[in-house]
Amino acid sequence: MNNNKFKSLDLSKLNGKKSTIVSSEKALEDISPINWSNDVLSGKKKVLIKYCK
Amino acid sequence: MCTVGDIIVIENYTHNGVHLRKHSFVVLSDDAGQIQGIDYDLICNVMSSFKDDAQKKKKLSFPGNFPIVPDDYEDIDGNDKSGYIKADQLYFFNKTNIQYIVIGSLREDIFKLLIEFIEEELDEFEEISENL
Repeated sequence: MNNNKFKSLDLSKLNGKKSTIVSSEKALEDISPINWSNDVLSGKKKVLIKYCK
Repeated sequence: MCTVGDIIVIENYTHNGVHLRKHSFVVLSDDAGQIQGIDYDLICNVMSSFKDDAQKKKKLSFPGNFPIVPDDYEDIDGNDKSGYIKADQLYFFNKTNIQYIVIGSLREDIFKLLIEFIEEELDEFEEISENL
């Protein structure tokens, strides 16, 4: 999808920070899947996230 | 084949043999590594929509949630929901063990903000590796 290689997450920068192993079930219990349109799921249209606030 | 910054939908996501609904993820890294002695080659954040305005207000009060607002979805027909990236959860996958489709990407400057947010702003993480 991306033509350019973005800078990856650098896990070494997370060393020393608290981390906990959790199950998928627990991690996803409060997540609401995004209902993409059929055009997106079929590949007819592509998603581009342009903004955050 | 996905690459860093892509948005993917994983189709065969299961837990204890139970098929979970399709979830969308942002690819943070496709470098190979090991977690708890198991190989991975994909690290992602999950994306979520808001159920309603009350949940939106609640979710955006959590420090680990990286908001993506309705304007973000201007390129998406038929989906006017706002949402967020659960930045404090790191999902580890092995690409050979999952089926996924690439549906889009983050713009590079937004992805850079997300990475800076994860690396510099967050102090606690949840790691999900049971799908390896």
